[in-house]
Amino acid sequence: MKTMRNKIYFPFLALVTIILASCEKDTPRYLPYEDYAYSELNADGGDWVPVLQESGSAIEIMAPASSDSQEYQNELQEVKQAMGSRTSEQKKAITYWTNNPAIRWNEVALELIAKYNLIPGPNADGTYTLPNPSNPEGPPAFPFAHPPYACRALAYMSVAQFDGLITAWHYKYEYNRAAPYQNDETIDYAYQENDIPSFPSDGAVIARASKNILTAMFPLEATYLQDLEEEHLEKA
Amino acid sequence: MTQKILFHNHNPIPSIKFHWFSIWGWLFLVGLLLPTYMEAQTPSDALMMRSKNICVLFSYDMGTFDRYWEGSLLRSNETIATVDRNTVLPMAAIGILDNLNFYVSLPYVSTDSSEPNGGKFTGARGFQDIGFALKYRAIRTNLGKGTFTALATTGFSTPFTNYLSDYRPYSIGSGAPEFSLRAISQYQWNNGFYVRGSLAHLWRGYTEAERDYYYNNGSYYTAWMDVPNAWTYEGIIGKWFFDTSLKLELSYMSLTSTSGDDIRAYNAAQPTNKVEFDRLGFSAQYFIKSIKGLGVVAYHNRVVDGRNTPKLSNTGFGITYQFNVIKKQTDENDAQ
Repeated sequence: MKTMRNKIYFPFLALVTIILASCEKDTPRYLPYEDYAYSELNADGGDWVPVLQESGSAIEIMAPASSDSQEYQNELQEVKQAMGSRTSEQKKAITYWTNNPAIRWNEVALELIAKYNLIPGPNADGTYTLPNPSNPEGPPAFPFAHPPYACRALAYMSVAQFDGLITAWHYKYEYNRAAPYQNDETIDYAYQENDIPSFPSDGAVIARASKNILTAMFPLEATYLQDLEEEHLEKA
Repeated sequence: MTQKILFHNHNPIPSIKFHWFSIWGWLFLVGLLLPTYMEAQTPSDALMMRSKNICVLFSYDMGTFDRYWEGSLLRSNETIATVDRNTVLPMAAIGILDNLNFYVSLPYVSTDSSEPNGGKFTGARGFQDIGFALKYRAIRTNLGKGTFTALATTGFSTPFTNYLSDYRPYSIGSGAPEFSLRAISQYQWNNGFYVRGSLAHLWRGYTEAERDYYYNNGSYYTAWMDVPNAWTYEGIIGKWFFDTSLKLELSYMSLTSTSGDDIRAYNAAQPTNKVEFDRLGFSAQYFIKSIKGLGVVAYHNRVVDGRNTPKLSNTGFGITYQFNVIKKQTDENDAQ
């Protein structure tokens, strides 16, 4: 009896181990997308024609403080310290957002579209109440992100990103502020090195433009989007 | 990607499908193989077959529902009408030792909606999951005016065919492998009255859907869905009549998933849902004295409360035949 029990016990344990070991699967929450090097730079990007604005100079952006100024030197020190003392969480955020964060904001938009693609149900008396942007809590919650609404949200966001980047490029090459890591060699750069002027920040433009559009389209997600923007801006 | 999400994720018509794996998942995968009825030697009862005995079961189960819980909200099946789910279950129990039994089972399941409004969706059919279980009787002792028994069952099941699990409520199973551990204890008085309780934990693996994105309180960029693990509890009172030839039982069973999301408003259920239910059941089993080893069973179960699960009622009938492979003679009901 006892030996029989052992005979069964060991293969059984082995089986359990194999089963449990094979149980873990990777279920990614975002696309495996990494930063990359640009094959060429288009310094004339600021001359492209925006969709909604007159031109890349339609929005006025003040010149940054001179690179000799104390103000700039202080900022440089801050950047140096921040890059030198990155936590593992911050490093993960840098890897996540990549040097082309438009794709991450598109993922955020797709997630909200999926979340809000819920049909408003009938009331008890059989009538229907439409989602109302002035009362987003509902019920029913605003919006009902059906495919036409989803297309609009994605289009608005892409236009805001596009126009914002043209404006950013226009001023980048007007002010020609070299990146912090080029002004101070002791600063690490998180992504592939390039010669794009760093002011104004293209990443910050993407973050703010995307957040503002998505907040308008998904008002109940304002806090979530604000947190995402802050994480993104910290990285940018 | 965009298009997939736009057109995949949602039904333009508020269709109502849901979550099936829970019920059938645990039933079979745990080794429970159709609830409480197969009193003759199932992985979840307290009966044991003697060494070298084999018991075969053949049963037919008819399940039906026209309501389901979307989260904790009970909804009617407006677009799919009444859904039927029929199961043919062949199972064999083999007595390896007097205190150790082995089980193998392979249910065939078919699902369908009643016409006309349910006719928009086709049902599914096929062999579900092949299940194996080992039951070990650790304690059997006289205690007071009766007998106390303690047993442990371990089970494993895995899809036998490549059925689509992400098609609720028509999908025939959870589409995921499952490993289970169950503890059972029973006290039977000498007058034939008994009480039994059991506790089981079910570890479920992943199932593959036919879409590369799904929403489960957030985006998932994969076709693999994590089927939640679960606990089940069961309490049973029963009594033997007519010199242990008739057995009647009342059962209560409960299942609670340890994780998962709720079915979204007017959306189909999916395998990631957090399923919970309480179910009451009644069963009768009769061993025909004139034909050695032959028995018949009948049962009825109803889900009385739940979450992300159909409000299912099911009724089944089955026959069991037990024989001794060595002596060609039956030690009928020897465990009793």
